[in-house]
Amino acid sequence: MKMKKYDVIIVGGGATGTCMARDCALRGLKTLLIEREDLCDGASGRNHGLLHSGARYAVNDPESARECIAENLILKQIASNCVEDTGGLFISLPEDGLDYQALLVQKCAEAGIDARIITPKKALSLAPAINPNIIGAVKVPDASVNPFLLSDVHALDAVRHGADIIKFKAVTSFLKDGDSVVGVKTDKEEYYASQVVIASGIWSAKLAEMAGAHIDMYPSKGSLLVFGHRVTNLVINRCRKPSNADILVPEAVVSVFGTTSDKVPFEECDNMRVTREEVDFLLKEGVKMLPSLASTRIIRAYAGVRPLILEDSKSSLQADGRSASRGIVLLDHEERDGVPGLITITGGKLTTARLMAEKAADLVCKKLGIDAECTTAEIPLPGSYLKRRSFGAFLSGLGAKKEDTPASKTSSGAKRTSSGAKRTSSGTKRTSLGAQKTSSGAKKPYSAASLPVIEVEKTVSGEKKSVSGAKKSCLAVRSVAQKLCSKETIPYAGIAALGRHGSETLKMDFTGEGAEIVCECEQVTSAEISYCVKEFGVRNLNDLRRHTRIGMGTCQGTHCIQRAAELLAIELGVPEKAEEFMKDYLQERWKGMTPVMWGETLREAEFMRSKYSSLLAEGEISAK
Amino acid sequence: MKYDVVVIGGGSSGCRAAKANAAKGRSVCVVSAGLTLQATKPESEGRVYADLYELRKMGVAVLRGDTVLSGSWDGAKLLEVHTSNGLTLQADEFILATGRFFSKGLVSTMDTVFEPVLGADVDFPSDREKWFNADFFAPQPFEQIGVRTTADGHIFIKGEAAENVKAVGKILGGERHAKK
Repeated sequence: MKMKKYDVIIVGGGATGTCMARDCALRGLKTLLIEREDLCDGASGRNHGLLHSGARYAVNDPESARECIAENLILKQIASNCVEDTGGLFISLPEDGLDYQALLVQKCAEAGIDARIITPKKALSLAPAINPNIIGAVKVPDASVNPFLLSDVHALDAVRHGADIIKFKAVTSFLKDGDSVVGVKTDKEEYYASQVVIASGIWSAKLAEMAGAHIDMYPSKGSLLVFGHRVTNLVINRCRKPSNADILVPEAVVSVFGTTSDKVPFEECDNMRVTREEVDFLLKEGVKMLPSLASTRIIRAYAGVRPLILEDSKSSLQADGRSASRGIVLLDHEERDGVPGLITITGGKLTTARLMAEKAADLVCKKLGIDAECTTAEIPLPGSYLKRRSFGAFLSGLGAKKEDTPASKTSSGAKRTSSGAKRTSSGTKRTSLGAQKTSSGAKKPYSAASLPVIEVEKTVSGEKKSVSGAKKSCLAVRSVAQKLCSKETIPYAGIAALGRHGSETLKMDFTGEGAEIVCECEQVTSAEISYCVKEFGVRNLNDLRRHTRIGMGTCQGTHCIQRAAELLAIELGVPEKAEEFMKDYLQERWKGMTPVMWGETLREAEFMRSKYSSLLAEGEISAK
Repeated sequence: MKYDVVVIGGGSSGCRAAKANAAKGRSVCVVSAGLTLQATKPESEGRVYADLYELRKMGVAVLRGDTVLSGSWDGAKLLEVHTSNGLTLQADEFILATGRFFSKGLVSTMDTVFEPVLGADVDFPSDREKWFNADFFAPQPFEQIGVRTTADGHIFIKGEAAENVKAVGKILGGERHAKK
């Protein structure tokens, strides 16, 4: 049995865990993250994809509201490619009255959230799909965030700063020395660390139990519906006390509406199904806010589970869990349960994941007696363009001569540095999650490589890429994309990848077959798939989906699964597994389609069955 | 316009029915929603062009890009159908071959399934959770949903058997369709 020693081990690769891994790695800690599945397999990948402005919490939970707006602004800066700055509206329906609106605006002002009352007419011009009978509207800085990518880039940055990430391995037990936790054990290996941090969402309860501590948790299921296109371009909230079914978030080519809030047994957390009642309820409520939802195709339904804490919450809990604090819960099990070496970070929400990680990492550092400042709020994540205005610098960088050596040049143009950080010019060894690096490099609290990659690395192969006729079609796309195309760096086919991966797109090889579109709905190219396989390490199409959005669009993979399966199987060097990949992913998509299987989705289902019964061997899909 | 037989739906079942009737010397008209004849399965795609050629050779009128919207009845007898291009087609016999859900021969909502052209009676489980199987590869109940017919394939309208309208193909529901 091999033995490995770390400063800190983080159990759970969701939003909090990956932020934590990055934070610790940036502080120079020898860090290990262990995730039993792929990153974002739990609640971090099954949520609204909403970057809260804090307005939703302003009235009930001012502390959360303040945290949200701060994190909202930070993420828009450091993860610009993961965030779509849509803006949001709080709309008041006639039955809601305007009392709450007044309260909301006042409380938002107190929390520092830029919430402005606009006329219903103005609101309708911004989002024509909302109920025309609204009596009031407030504009807030809500945004849409890609939760998968947000964790991806955090993990990527962690690895690039020396952290180890082990995916697809469950922690089976904790290593103890007396009462103290000194490490974790997976099926075959033992990992030792001075501090173990549980960041496993609802599964934290079980893990804490295993380690000899106890947390009273409350699994609160939230179901959501995915509608087949962007019903609005803004986040739409209902302007009333936080309740069920009151938020619509536009995301990529779809819109997500939710949620519900129901206590579920722990056993259900690993395999949740959206019930008929939940679908009916969501649709009934959704139509009140956006009448066109009644006739918009619902492409699937999914559910996630909120890790709500029974104890340590400030307010007493009501049955529906809505009033439970969504605040951050940091548990020091040494003080609390007499289990030294163990910390749990939970509660909170996607928007505040970075802050949660900061708090937990502060505690880890305190325990370790290390004096290292948190720099995660200042240093941009891989792919982020930084601020809009520095995009010009990015573009001019593209025009410069391209070099083949990665990560070895310090850019003088870098604007953001952290006060406490020491800058070194030594190149960081390029690593990827996919490679499952075994030995972590020397501690580098802050290196040139942690500067925006866009300004440091220009590693796209020297050849000029041909964009030929496609170049002309760029006229219709965003100006950002236009500029990139005109630099002949990223072909037209790579524009969606640019939206998702930001400047990391420059690492994709769009030559030859690389520019071929594999998934039409989400415009995923062969190059993007290769990049994700290499950087993130994937086992199957479902993992690949999280990094690329492949098969998440309107056709739910009907058109692309067979192509994607073959490509992935070849990428992974297991061509014989292509059919297995295809079948597993079909079943996975089917699961989300069945709760809403009527109308257009039933049509799609029939087509999907028909198509794949022709493609697969006779009898694989049984008719009777 | 008056024909012996009007076939509603230009899929493979509709074409087969049209050919069989034309072979008996009857005048036949096929109304096909698509600009080419329709095929759900990829492997059928090539066949529709062959069908089109053959039907023309047999003197069958093929109305491409037109859709039957409704029918006029005299009791249990369908007199004529009306198309989206404004045509009225009369016939002694009508054949409903509009397929299942994908081709919109049947339309489903949250709680019901209906046949949108003639309003034929449809048999379906009332609970929509019983329309599917959670296993993608297992037989799917929705593929068994179809219009109710008499032993010789005549459809029902509000419980009454139609005298001169037969259904063929997928709109019959899985098993009965397969038997044909």
